[in-house]
Order: sequence, then C-alpha cells, then structure tokens
Amino acid sequence: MTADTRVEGSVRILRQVPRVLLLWLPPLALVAAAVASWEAYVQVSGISPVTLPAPSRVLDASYGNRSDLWDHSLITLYEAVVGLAVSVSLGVLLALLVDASGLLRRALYPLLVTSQTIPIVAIAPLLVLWFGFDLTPKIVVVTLYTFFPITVAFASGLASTDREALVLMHTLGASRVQTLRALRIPQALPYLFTGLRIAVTYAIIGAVFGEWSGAREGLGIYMLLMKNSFRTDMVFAAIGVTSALSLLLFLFVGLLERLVVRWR
Amino acid sequence: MAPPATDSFPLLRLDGVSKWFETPRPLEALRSVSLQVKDGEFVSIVGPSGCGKSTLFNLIVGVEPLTAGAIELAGETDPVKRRLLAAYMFQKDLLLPWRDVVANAVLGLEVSRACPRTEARARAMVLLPRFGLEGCERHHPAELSGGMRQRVALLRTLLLERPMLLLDEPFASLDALTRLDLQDWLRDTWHNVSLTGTGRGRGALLVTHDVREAARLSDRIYVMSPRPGRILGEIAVSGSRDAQSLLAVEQEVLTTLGAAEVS
Repeated sequence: MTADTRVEGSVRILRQVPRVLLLWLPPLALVAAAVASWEAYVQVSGISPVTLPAPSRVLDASYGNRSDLWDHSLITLYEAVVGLAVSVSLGVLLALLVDASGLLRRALYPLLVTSQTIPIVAIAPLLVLWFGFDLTPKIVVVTLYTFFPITVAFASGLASTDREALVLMHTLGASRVQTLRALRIPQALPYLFTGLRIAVTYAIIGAVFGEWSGAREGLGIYMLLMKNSFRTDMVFAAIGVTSALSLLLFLFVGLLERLVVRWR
Repeated sequence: MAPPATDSFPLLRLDGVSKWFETPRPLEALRSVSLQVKDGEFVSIVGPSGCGKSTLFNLIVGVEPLTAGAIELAGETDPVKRRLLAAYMFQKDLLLPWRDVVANAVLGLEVSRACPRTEARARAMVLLPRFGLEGCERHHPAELSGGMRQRVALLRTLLLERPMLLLDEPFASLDALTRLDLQDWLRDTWHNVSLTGTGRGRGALLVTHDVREAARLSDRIYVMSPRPGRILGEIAVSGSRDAQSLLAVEQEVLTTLGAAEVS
C-alpha cells in the first residue's frame, strides 16, 4: 500500500465519523495527552505531591471531598450569577443612557473605560474592608469584571440600527421610545448576548477572586485554605471545578440566546 | 402627449423643489423639481440610479429639510404633518425578523395606536388572501420568499390607509419573474382595493429605474435626469396598456432620457 492510498483510506474513515465527534475530538485528545504526560512525569520523577500532585491523586481527592467542593461551588456560582444579573441590568441601563444623548455618551464613556483600568487586585481587599466578609464585595468584584463588555456590546448593538429601518419607523409615526422598543432593542439583543458570553467567562473568576481577598465560604477561600495546609491536590480540584462552572455558565448563555434570539 | 384630462385636485404638489447636501461635501441632489399627483392617479418617476429619487421621497415625508421650493401633500405644507399623510415603501422589505407576518404588517397601526391590537390583527388577516399570504400569518420573514416579503411590506404600507403611497423601487431586489408577477398584482390591487381612501383622496408615486415597470403601472410618467435631478419630461400612458402602446411609452421615455444625455 502506498502512502497516498493510506491517506485516502484514513480520509474516508474520518468522513464517516459523525461531525460532532470531529468537533470535539481534537481538544479532547489534546487534553488527554496533556493529562497523560503530567501523570507520567509525576510517576517517573517521584516529585512530592505537595509540589505537583498527579491527576489521579487530584481526582481521588476531589471525590473524597465532593460534598465540600459542592457546597463551596454553590456559593461561588450564586455570587457569579447575582453579579452577572447586576451587570446585565447596569450594562443595559448604561448602554441606553450612552445611546440617549451625545452629551451623556461624552460624559460616561471615559468613566466606563477608566473603570476597567482599576487594578482589581488592589481594590478587592478594600471592598472587604468596606462591605465585610459576606456576599456584597464578591458581587461588586464580579460586576466590575463583567458590566463593561455587556455595556459596550449592547451600546454598539443599539448604534448599529439600520438607517432605512429608522426612516421606516419615522414615517410610520413611531416615537423615539416606540422605535427603541419595537426595533432597536430587539435588533441589539444578539449583540447583548455576545457581550454576555464574554462576561460569563469572567464571572466565576471574579467571584473566586473576591473570595480570595476575604470570605467565609466559596471556592476562592477554599483554595486559599487548601494551599495554606499544603493540600495542593485540593487546590487543583478547586481549579477544575472553577473551570467547569465557567463552562457551564457559558453553555447556559448559549442556550438562553437560542431561546431568545430565535430569528437568527 | 398631453396629460389625461382630469378635474381632480392635486393630492401632491412639488413646486421648484431643490436640495443641496452640505456634508460631507456640497452636493446638488435636486434642481427645481416640480410635479403633481392628482387624486386617483398612479404616477412614476423614471431616472437613472443616483438621480436623487430617494432624496425626493425623504423630502416629501419630511425626513430631510428642503433647500428651496414647496411641497404640499393633501393640503398640508408642514413637514411634520406630511409625514403622517404618506405611506412609504422601500426597496428593502425592512421586515422585523422577530415578528411574524401579521405582527410585521400591523407595525404601523401599532405605533400610531390607530386601533386596538386585536382589531389591527383582524384587519391584516382579512387582507392576507388578496396579498397571497393566506396561511402564512404565523410565518417569520426568514421563511418567506423575496416576493412574499415584499408583499408583506406592501401590506404594512397599505394598512396605514394614508392618502399618498410612496414606492421607492419596491421590486428592484426581486428576480425578473417575481417582479412581473408583483407588478401585475400591484396594478390590480391598486385599482380594486381602495385602502388608501380616507376622504382626502389617494394617489401613488413610484420611483424606479425600470422603464417597463413604469409603463406597466402608471397613468403618467416623469422622466428625471442624472444628478442633479431635474424633470426632463412628462409622458401620459393611455388606458389600453397593450404591448404596442407600452412599447411606444418605453420608447418615448428613452428618447427623453437620451435627448438629455446628448445635449
């Protein structure tokens, strides 16, 4: 068999693989390879599990502490979702204000951009100082992380309204508010979802970070405690859960978009 | 050829209308355009692309201010009032993709609060069969063909029941066969359904670069020059509309356009 026919043969086999599998196979294979070499390295080198625990050990520890992980996850998820809800409300409101007048746009935009230059590392401990150890400072951190992409995306969605459609609404006799409600807001919804997709990837991290700076419960404080008691395996477990939560939120937003933006 | 003898009052009158755009650079779009649409008339403006036909419509409905001249529509010269006396249909259907056929059709009635929502829907439903949209009331624009979408757009325009119908190349984006179909259908609908009757009369003004379309649909045709747009001539179309007379009208329009190009 020549190399050519072999290649043709494998192409034919690949074509028969369902497309979903083709889509998921490359990233999964890469992750599997990475985990396998990590495991192999730990086994061969005999490195201390405090420095670098093997994946198998992380899995073991996760399973053993699953109820702790679950409880802390719920807290973190709750903070992220509430923070996102605040961000969506705030972002939509700010975008509408920016859209409403040139004066407001000029007044608000520099402040919005500046808000993104604040080092959250520095401000998170201050938030704990101001708002205490309960949920408020975490929700503030999540909001600080996530309202900006939502605001910018929705504002540019509103700004992208078709000019002729605006003339149409005008000739139909629609007021500004009617045009906003009937045409411009629905038309900007896909943009809002684009912003929301970016925002959700920051939300869990924001919550974890807020907890890291001071909290009673949550994955962030759990990670810190585990690190301080040399349970590196549990730190990795918490990291894994953090990623999983972010992915879950991301998928949820995708699902929500499909339900809301049906006409696309 | 003289315009058809009629004692109807002019529904729409443009008197020496000129339009300059200042930005991005000074541009003369229209030069001293004067024309009339009488009660019951279907009038076309034929001209090459970019002769300011769409600008003319924006002036009529008051989206753009005039540079000079006067416009009177159903007795109103105030641009704010004129806006609500004309129903404007665009080249693009501009249907809202998240609304179904009926919801798109009643958009104008909805924003003008002309009647309760259920009544608006009922009025649209009654007309669906005549617009070839029976059974499509729950369909969304993405599920419709180009011709059907344009019919929904026309239904939205006609439901407003405004005296003046302004059609801005409404069939330009359709394929040739669909276009012919819709032209025939529009002619019939225009003559048989008096949706625009409000006691103030009714009329239609169509701008197009399709000479044949103008000849098939109109009672009278104005020929417009390239930018700056001027009226080059006026051609009356006889009532018979057989192939021979349509051809003669087409010839006359082209001669008028050609004469301007030579001079």
